[in-house]
Amino acid sequence: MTYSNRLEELVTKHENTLFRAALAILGDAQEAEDAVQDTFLRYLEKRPELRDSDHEKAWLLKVAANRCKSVLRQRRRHPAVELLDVYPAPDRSCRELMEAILALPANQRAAVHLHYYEGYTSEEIGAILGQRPGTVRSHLSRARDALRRYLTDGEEGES
Amino acid sequence: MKKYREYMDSVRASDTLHQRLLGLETSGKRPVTWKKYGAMAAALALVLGLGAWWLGREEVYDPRLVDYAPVAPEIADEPVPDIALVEPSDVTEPGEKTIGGYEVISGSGENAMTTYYILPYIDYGRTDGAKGASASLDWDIPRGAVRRDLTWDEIITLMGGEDAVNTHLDWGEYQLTGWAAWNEDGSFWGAYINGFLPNYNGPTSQFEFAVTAGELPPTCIGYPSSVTQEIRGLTVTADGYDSVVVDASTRRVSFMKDGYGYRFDINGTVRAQTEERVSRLVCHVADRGLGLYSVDGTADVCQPEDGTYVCTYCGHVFPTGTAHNHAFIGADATYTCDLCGNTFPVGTPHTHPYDPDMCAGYPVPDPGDGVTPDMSAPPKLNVVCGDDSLTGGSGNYTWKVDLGNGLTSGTNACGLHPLDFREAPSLTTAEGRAKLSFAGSPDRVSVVCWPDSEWGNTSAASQECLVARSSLTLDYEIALNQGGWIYEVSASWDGYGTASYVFYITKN
Repeated sequence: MTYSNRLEELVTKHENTLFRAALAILGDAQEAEDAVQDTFLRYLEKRPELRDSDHEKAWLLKVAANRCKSVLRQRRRHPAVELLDVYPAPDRSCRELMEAILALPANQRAAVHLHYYEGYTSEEIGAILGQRPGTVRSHLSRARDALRRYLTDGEEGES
Repeated sequence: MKKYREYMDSVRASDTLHQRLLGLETSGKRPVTWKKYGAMAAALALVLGLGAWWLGREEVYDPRLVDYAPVAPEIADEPVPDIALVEPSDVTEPGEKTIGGYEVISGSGENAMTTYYILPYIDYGRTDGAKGASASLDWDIPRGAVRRDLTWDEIITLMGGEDAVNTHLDWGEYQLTGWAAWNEDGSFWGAYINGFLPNYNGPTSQFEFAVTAGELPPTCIGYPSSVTQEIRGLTVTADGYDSVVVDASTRRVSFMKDGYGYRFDINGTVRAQTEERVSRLVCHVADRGLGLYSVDGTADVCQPEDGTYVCTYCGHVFPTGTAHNHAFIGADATYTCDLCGNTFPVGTPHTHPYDPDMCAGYPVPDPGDGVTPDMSAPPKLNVVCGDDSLTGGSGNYTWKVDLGNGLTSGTNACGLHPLDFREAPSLTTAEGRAKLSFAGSPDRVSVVCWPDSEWGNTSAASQECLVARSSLTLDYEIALNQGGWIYEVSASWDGYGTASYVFYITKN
């Protein structure tokens, strides 16, 4: 398989995953698109040999998370972008939940997304974000405290 | 979180992005965000280019011919950070060099703001071993001084509040203990806070923070190499060492500010994180300061132009500099000495010779010691948020008064449901916490709340609020929710009865 075909396959398979993760961390669609673009560019530069699809996804998420951290470092002080204007929530309760999540610090948003959406454990999230599992659990715990009213029974267990 | 998953499922990368990604290999263009660092990237490229030329001058250098190392079994690390931690625009003077920073998001919705705090780089000098370190004889607090352990609440207050501890100091993972000592004349001597990571099996990861009045905190360890530098307007002396035995680094800073000496000594396994925590501590003290009023009655809590300050705990006004020891304060501007049991007006000089047997582990003040509150009716509730306060609106109560001779008088009163109590006392604040103080301290307190969207909906389910109690002030405290909320406080007094109070607070 050529690298062009490989890239096309990779983009098709992972672009939404990476875009959603970047969006969750950054809360800004344009910045999220840039982060995803940079992630695939990094893939082309490094051309890593990744043993399977799961490994591939984790590698790309790690690079994307690094890119998001870089974007956050470059930010100074600005109003949070209204993500919900770009991607409206279907109903009021969903909008309230998204507003509550977007109000969390970025590291908590990242942990929430990777855990509740991607289904990673705190150990796996720690490897992706470059943090200790205990730190991830701490982020998840604080996020849960803030989001408790939106969590349903049975979803608070693992971290 | 099902709704979160549904929402995210509906989010998809745009066709524009898809085309941009597929076109990457042919265009090879980086996103425009790199333009900001173009100069640095160019300089870096020049250095790397020269290096590559030097290393590969006997063979043709082609990155595509390089054998890429197999990806690590877990997840590949990136060989270099994506962005310089020291931002080019910030490197002007040594004291302005940064190690990056952290962001804090406040508010929500349209009012959400992201604040990025830049952390200063601190030069620790040589850190390649502790061979030259010297240990002096152990030290002790001054003769005659009284020392006692600080509660968690007191530690948090001293360090500037829970938000400061978790957000700015990044101490959220640490288990905190501490103590403070007061001189024989009642003046503040100093406080030591220790933090360690529970359930952490690696090399030591802990810190010691000390603040003392008038001079730098004493220490037993001296390092041969230290660097004195200006950081955020403070003259900071920094030193440390990197262990050659285990993967651990120690970093220490000492400085004076406004007549207090500070020392922060921390070790951990991740050097960058250890140094970041030091920078955070220095910035916190320099920019925001500590809640020293909680341990030092002479610390300026508020210094208006008339030369007085209002005690945060008792609300009384004193000339600035008046000795006013909060460590022994009671609920009615008197304090009961824990050592002798006598009651004095706040501010009365009252000292004991230091007696290790008598002073060791002395008990927390008992509510009501030396105080005779009026218990003929449910005591009033005073709610304090920073400079604002209100008196809680009266709700239900059941009250019993002993009339003597075996006679009692009982009263049952029904108040409005909190969600129908639209005239409930209210205030608007930016504070994160509210202090609940009663004229006669209750034995138990619980608090529930409702968002103001539920006004009138008396069947709405309430949310329970966590209530903390300070053993220092005997006051209760709750964290305020963002926005407008109706709070109902239920208090009970053994032997008297129960009472509920309602108030409405909008937190901006």
